[in-house]
Amino acid sequence: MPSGWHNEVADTLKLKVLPQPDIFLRLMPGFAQAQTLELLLSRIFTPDRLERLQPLADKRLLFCTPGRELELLMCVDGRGIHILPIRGEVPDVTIRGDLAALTALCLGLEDSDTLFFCRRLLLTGDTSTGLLFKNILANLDFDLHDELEQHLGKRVADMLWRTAEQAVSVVERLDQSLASTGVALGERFGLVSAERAQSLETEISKMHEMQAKLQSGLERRRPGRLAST
Amino acid sequence: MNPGREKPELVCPAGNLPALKAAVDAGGDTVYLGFRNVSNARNFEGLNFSREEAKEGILYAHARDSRVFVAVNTSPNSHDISPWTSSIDMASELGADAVILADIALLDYAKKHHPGLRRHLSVQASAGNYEALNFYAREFGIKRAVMPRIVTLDTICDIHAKTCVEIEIFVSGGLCVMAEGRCWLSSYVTGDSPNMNGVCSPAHAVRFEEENDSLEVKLDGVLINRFAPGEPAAYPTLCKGRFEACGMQGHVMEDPYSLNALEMLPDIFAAGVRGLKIEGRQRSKHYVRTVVSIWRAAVDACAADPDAYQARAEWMTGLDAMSEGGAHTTGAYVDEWR
Repeated sequence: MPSGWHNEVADTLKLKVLPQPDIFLRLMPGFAQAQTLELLLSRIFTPDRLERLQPLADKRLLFCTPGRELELLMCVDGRGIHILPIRGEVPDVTIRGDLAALTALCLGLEDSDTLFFCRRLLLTGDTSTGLLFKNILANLDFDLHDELEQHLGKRVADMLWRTAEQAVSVVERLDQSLASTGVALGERFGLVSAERAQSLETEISKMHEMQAKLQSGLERRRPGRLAST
Repeated sequence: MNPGREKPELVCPAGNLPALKAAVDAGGDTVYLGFRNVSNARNFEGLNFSREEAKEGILYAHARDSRVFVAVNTSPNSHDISPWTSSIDMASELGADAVILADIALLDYAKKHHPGLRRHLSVQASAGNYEALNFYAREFGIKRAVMPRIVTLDTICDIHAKTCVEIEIFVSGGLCVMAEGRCWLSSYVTGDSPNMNGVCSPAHAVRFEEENDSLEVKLDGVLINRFAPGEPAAYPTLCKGRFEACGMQGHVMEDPYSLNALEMLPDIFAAGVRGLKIEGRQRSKHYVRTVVSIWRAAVDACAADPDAYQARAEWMTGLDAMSEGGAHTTGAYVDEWR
C-alpha cells in the first residue's frame, strides 16, 4: 500500500449520503473514517473469520448506491480488509443498491435474492465473485451490535447503531416523499402515463414496506440494549 | 384428513450453519443440507457445509429434536466416484438421519456400506410413478421419495395409495418446471447442469448488464431475459427466460414465479404426504427463518382443524414478498403447464 494512501481514500470514500449523521461522524474527516472503518473491520474480522474470506483474496469489490453518493472499494488479503482508492481501479464485481438495501445485506436483515427480485440490489461484473461474497457473508454469523460493543465500547456502539437507524429512517422518508412527488409531477406534466404513474407508486409502496422491514429488523436486534442510554 | 394420520414433517433448507439454526429455531422438523462439493444439486460458490459445520449443525438440530438429511443427489462421473461415496460416508459418520440420493450406484453403495442409514430418493431421480418407487424400495430399501415438481396432486394421491414409500413434495420456493434430473437446458449453453455439476446456470456464465435502463441477463453471452425498469426480476435460468416463439415474445416455458402451496394444505394432508419440503438452500437465514415460521404456523393450524383451515393473507403476502418475480403459483399441482 503506497504511503499517504489514506488521503486518496479521503477523496474517494463518499459518505455524504448519510443523512444527518451523528455529530461524531460528521466531524470526522474522510481519511479518518476510512482508517476507522479499516480498524473496525480488522477487529471484527478476527483471524478465523478473515481466513474464511480468503477465497475472495485480491478481488476488488465495489459497493455503491445508484447515484454513486456512496462508493466503497474493498479488497481482502491475508492481513485484513482494505479500503482502496477508487480512481483507476476496475472492480471485479460491483454490488449496487440503495443505502437501506446495502445496510440490510451487510447486517443480514434481508435476503439478497429478495432484494435482487425487487430490483433493489444489482450485481454486475464477475457473478462468481459476487455470489461467493454473498454466501461467505451469509455464513459469517455474528451480531454486529455485539461486535461493535466489544471493540468500541457500549457508548460508541450504541451511537453508531443509532446513526444506522437514523440513516435508514431518513432515507425512507426521503425516498418515499421525493419519489411520490416526482411521480406526481411527471404525471402532471405528461411525462409519464397514468398507468405508469400507478405502477411506480406501487413500486414506491413496496420499497417503503421493505424499508419498514429493515427498520423493524434493526429494532429487533437491539431490545434492551439502548434502554439505558 | 383421516383421524390419526400423522402431521406432515416440515423439511427445511439450509445452505449454511446460520440458516440451519434459523430453520430449527423457527420450528423446522427437519433440515436438509449438502456438503461443499460437487455431490449436491446446489453446488454454488461459498455455499454448503464443511465437515465441521455439518457436525455442529447436526448436533444443534438433534439437541432440539430436529432431524438432518444430507443431499448427495448429483450423478457421479465414471473416473472418480469418491466425492460422492465419501459424502455418504461422512453423512453416516456425522449421524445424519437420512441421505437423499438419486443415482442407483450411490443408492447401492449406501445400502451396502451403511445399511442402517435411512435412504431417501431425491427429486433428481425423477421418479413420478408408484412402480418406480416400489422398484427403488425393493432394490435399494428407500423409505421416502421426493416427488418431481411436475406431477399433479391427483397423481400424488394415486401413488400414495399404491406404495409404502413415504411421499415428500415441494410446497414452497423456487419452482423447477422440468423433469428434474433430466433437464440439460443449462448444459446446452454453459456446459454445466444440475445433474452432473450441481448447478443450473453456473455463476461463471451469468452476467447482469444494464442497457438503456433495462436489466439484461446473459448466460455465456446469450441474452436470455430483459427486465424493464422496476419490473420484478427472476433467477437467470433458461427455463424462465424470455424468448421469441410463434411470432410472440415472452416466457415460452414458464413464468418466473415461486411455488406456494399454502392454500392447498388440507388437500396435501389428505393426500397422505409425509414431508413438506421448502426449497431455498441458496437463500439467507433471514429467508429461511421467515418462510419456515410461516409454514410452521400454517401446518399447525391445518393439523389442528383442517376443515376450518384457510391460508391467512399475511402468510401469503409474507411469502410473495420474498418470491421470485414477486408472485406465486401452485405449479403443476393444479395448474396446467403452458
